[in-house]
Amino acid sequence: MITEKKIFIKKIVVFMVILTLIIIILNAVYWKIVIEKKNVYRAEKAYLDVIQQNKTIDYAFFGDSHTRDAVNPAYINSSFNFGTGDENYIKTYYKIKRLLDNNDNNNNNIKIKMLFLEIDPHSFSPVLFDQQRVMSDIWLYSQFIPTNEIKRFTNKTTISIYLESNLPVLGNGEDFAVLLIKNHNMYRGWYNDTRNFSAGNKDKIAEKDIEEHFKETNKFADPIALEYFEKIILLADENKIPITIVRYPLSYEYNKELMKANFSEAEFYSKIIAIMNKHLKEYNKLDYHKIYENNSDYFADSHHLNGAGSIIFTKQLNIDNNIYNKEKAVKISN
Amino acid sequence: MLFNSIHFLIFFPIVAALYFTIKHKYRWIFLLVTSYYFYMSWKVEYTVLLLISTVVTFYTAIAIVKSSNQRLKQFYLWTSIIINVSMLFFFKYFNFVTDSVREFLALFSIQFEPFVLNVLLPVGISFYTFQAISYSVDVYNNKINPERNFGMYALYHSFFPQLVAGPIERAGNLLHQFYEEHKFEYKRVVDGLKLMLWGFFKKVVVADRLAIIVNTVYNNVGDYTGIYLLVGTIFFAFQIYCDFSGYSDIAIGSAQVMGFRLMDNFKRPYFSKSIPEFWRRWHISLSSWFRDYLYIPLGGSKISVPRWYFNLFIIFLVSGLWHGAKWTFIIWGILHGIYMISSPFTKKWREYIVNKVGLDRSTRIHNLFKIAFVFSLVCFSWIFFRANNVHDAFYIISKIFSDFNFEFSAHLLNIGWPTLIIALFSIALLEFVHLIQSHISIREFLDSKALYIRWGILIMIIISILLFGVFEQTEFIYFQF
Repeated sequence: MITEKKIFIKKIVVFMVILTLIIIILNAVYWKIVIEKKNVYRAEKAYLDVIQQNKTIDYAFFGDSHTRDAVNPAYINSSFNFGTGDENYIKTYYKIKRLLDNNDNNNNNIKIKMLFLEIDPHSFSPVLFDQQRVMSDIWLYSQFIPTNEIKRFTNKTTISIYLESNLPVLGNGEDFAVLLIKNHNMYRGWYNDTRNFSAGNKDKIAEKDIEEHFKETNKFADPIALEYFEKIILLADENKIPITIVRYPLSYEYNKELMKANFSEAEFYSKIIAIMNKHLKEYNKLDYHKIYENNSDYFADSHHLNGAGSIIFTKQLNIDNNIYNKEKAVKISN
Repeated sequence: MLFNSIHFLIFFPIVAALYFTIKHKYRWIFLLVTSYYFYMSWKVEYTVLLLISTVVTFYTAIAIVKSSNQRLKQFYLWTSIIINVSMLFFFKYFNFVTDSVREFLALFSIQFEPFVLNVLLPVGISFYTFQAISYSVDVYNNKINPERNFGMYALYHSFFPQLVAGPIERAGNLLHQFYEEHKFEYKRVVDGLKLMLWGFFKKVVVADRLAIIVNTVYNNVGDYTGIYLLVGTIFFAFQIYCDFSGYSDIAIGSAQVMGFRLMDNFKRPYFSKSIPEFWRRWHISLSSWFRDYLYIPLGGSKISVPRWYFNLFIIFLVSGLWHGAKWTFIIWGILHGIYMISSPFTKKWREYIVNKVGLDRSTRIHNLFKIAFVFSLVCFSWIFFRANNVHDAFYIISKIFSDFNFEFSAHLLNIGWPTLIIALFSIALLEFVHLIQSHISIREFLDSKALYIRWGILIMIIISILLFGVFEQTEFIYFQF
């Protein structure tokens, strides 16, 4: 029996060593051909390049894919688009915190002059705080979000967070299909979506998008979203960084479906404005949600601007931001 | 503790390693403690129910044997059955019954607001209740002697590999094994681990992946045309099979590692050529339980034909009810009851047609036709089993037959093509393995191969689990029963 045990242990050890090696190799391959193709990785790499090369960031845009696709930093000097797909305010909070920490670490080129924060209804949707989605891309966020916070929102154990952070290939084999997908251009976090919303059945696409964003819950503002939104405001205020809240362009069809889903604009935004007013004396508001309702060619789908639309939009945003800055400067000098 | 959790992946190797280092005479105590720990990791409070069921069944069994009076024996037997069934009824059926009464009275415009029991169904209660009843009945029928060691009986009642979802073991098969010394046998341990591995593959790669599609379809039936509902139903057939047989494989495998033999629970049921055969291959421990403790006591097949039909019907009705306190499960049971009755009832007609047409029953095509026909009947009944309510089930059936075209897009299911391809590929692999199994056991098949091939296959399975498994710790479907 002892010999059998010894043989078993020996074989198990050899088997596990081989298996571990294969997993490590697969993980490395996954990292190379899947993660490095992900938009969130490419945006992160662009940010790290900015830090390493001591480039400047004066205007920082935060939000989800609406922000990512709408703001092209090529048209606003020293700006960086930090928006990522499915980003919620928990991730945004910690991203801003990290950015400000970099600021503290004698990186003199990152002096944020204005923080642009998305306030689209989708950003507050409970769908983004669902246990499965709240902390996607743990391999990235575990680098700067405390494990306890990840545990709080995902209900995951420390071990599984560790495994997901270091072995992202686990459970994600189907991501290898990314090999078949063509990558779009990115610049400083901006994503060039080349699709055209006009080409499809606009009503149907908008209906499906609204259903995906809100139908399951029938709620529009998740309490955690509001909690972290407030934390962001406080964080910016502590660091004396001015804030501009932005509503990004949405298609006519999307706005129509949103109203059909019993979205009360007044009720929804009163909560957000109450938080802003509670902590800040002054901030800028930019509302573009209806600006391109007659230009569906500017959209990739019902709620994302495409490459062409984002250039037109960014120019407009730059103008509006400059006007606000000038008015503010006049106010101060008076 | 779920089998498909990191908790179990740490728990089991520690338990197995310690089990073989502990002296034989203390092993049962160790297994009892670990079994209760396993159960307590769900909800500590429900251990009380398990303990009550254990105490009642143990002492009534001893009382049955000690009583010389037949009536007293019957009294103790019924005490055990009634207490066990009452607990099951209270937690599983109370709300269903009161709600049904409320709906019934509402038909006559009578207002009735029943008390609603807001408690979770204790995990495994249906399984250990049936195990307890089988023990009491076997002792009453002098099939087995009652266990005199309370701890040993408690271990039989709570043995962790099969505690929460079976196989529903008989004392005659399991109890004596706790007294036997199980030495470490390399082949047995490795075979047990391989079976567990296959069970994990079925659960996390096949069942949980199919669940993504099935849940999307069945939770939004109004959004889909017939083809989606049909695909969702066929996928559910494989989901529930892989979910439950996967659990059984892990249970049987983990017991086998420690030297215990649990009964088989599934034998490639979708290869059945008739409904009675399906029930000899599907959830064997439950169907044999119904055979031994309900069907035979009701008279078995040695009664008049109408009574026999009636008994078959009753058994499947109870089987449906056992699965859950919902009308969908009851209809599922009734459907299988009808299938079972139809089988002997239509035998002469079917034979007449076959002879008239001159069909050769031995051909592969004939067998394939029978397999496909039985699979279709089973899938039809699964619609009721899976549907959220009876209305949805009838809606699905009507859609499949009235709104069917071959337009299909994975995007509409909120999944990508890779998920669908992996799901289809894993079903194909599963059936390929079943095909091999119909000629040779997988163990023999693997043993006949060279070491590097064996290890290659095992590594491929582990890699598939790690890469394509769904690790959201979804519960096994049968936990809700």
